[in-house]
Amino acid sequence: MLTAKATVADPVGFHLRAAGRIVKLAKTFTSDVTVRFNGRAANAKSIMGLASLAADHGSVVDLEIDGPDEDEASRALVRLIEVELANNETQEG
Amino acid sequence: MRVLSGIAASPGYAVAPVHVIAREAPEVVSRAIAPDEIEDEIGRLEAAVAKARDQIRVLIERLARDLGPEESAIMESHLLILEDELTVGRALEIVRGEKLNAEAALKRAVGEVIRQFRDLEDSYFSERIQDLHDVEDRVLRILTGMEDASITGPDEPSVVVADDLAPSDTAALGSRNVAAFVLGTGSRTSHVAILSRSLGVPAVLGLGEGIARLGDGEMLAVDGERGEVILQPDAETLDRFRGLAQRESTVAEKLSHLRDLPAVTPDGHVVKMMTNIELPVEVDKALDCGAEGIGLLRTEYIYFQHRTLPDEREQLAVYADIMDRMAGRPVLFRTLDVGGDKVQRYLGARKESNPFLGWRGIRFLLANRPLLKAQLRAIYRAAALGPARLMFPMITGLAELRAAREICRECCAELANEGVAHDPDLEIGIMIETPAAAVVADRLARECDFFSIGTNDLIQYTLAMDRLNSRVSYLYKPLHPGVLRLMRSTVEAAHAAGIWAGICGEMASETRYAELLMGLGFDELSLHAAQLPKVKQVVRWTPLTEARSLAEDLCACDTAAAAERLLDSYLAAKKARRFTKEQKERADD
Repeated sequence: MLTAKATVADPVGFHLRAAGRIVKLAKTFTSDVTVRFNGRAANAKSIMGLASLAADHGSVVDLEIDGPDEDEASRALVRLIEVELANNETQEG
Repeated sequence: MRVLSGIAASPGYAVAPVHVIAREAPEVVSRAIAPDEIEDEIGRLEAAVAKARDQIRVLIERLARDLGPEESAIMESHLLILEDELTVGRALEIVRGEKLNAEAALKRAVGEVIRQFRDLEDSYFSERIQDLHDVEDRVLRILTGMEDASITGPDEPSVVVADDLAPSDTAALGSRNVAAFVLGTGSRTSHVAILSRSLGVPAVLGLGEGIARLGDGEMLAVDGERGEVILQPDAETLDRFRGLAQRESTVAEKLSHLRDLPAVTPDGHVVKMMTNIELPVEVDKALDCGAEGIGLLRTEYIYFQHRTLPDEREQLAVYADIMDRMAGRPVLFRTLDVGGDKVQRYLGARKESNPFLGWRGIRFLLANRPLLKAQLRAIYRAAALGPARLMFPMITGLAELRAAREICRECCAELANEGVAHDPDLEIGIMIETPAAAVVADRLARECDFFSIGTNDLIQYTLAMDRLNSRVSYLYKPLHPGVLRLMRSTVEAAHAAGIWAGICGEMASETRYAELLMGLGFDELSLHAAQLPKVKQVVRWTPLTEARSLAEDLCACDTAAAAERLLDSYLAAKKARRFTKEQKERADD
């Protein structure tokens, strides 16, 4: 299991749009990903769960990644949360 | 006969039978199931979810087609909610683990999510809860065999009455046979209000819960001007409303010949006539009324509709749709103007004790750089598709204008680097809505391409009166000498620097003030589409010399009341002149 910290770069924090992108990315990995913030935990593959963390812009969330592709998942998710979410233009398509 | 008072959300009159849109809440019976029933229940729930997914997809397509991509975004989030492990995923777990039937399991799962959200005490999530219930109800209706979750429109012209209408409801309803909207909830900026104005049907909103208890087929008279709904109207009222509705359509017909005529005064002065819009769907109405372009595109609605931030691509899709529909006519994009009465929690704005003097307009934008850049990039890209203009709200001085222009340059450099099509030379202007900006207009004019006066805010800030405070609303005086001087000096400063000046506030939509605004020298008037023909008529009848001398006289008045009286007598004399002229023309025929 890996742990990582990430600072939320999205200007409005973990609201549905950002959460949706995290869910989409997390679902591409087989590893289980848990996001913790402010005493709450959520599955990174659940949009309602992530949104309910209500992590604001600039807050630091803890990630726990557990599974065969945990290295890759950890890197990709941290990059998404810390860097790509800052830019509203998505790079997905 | 009973009169109910609500919010006048869209003007016009209608008399028609009621068509109630009420949704019974699906009745859920909680039932313990036997172990050998588990797989059946799971199958039922999965089938219902699949069907709900299909229904939502159909609505997304219909919304995207009828109202543009920004409308369909809400329904997209319904798909995500439907697929979430905390909703349906959790319900499946409950069926298996606690041997509950599918309906009860789903209800319990959704209840758990809602409890979590409730703890957050965040208004953003209370809205999310409505979406959750919407999705839950859709699946429950399918499970309980309440058949199609979608609703049907009326078969004959009717007043659509409901406690509330979600965007998915109005999409399912369509616009055919809707004579008016009458709702228990809503405000002037709610979805149905904007939709009604763009469709040109009257709407009275915010009448309180229980309005949907009206019986189908009952006659209703709707007064969209005063925000009144008359129940069981007597014969006289029915006649009066039919007359009003008829007169409106006759006036509209009479004015329709003006559509293709230029807005030019008898002495050859041209005034550009534009409209204010919020949605792509409003473009058709604008063009129908003879608009030469969009003089104010409020982009807030695009953000509010999403409830989450639309990214650059989503914004570009909406903007491109508007440019496309405008077919080469100019479109003026005002960057997001939040704050004040439009605070939205999800954008990080917080309740303030003095929101009109708070974190809003350009202040908010400069503090939210990624958000501003996403919007600017989308606007610059849309500008590659036709003549676009960019306008910043709430400017108080050069520092803000320079900071904003710096970010514009940065966006252009990025777009150029990325090889993305954009127009680096689009016109950049500012709203003049603070007294400070009006006073330093000469300096501002050197560093931008145009001014547009937002009269509502300029009046409020100049007269230090809160528009939303009914105790001081008597101070809202467009003809106050202080307001008139600021308007006049702003136009003069623009012209001295060789840039144009327009007006996009409510004042431009009132025929009463048309001569004054022409006389002050405004090059462009941007107003509600429905008012455009009437104001154009005034422009075509009034020589600029006459308008100028009226403006001068009004500016010379000591008080707002004196100016209003002077304007009254001018308008009365003009009407009499017009009447005599028409009589004479008729006699000559």
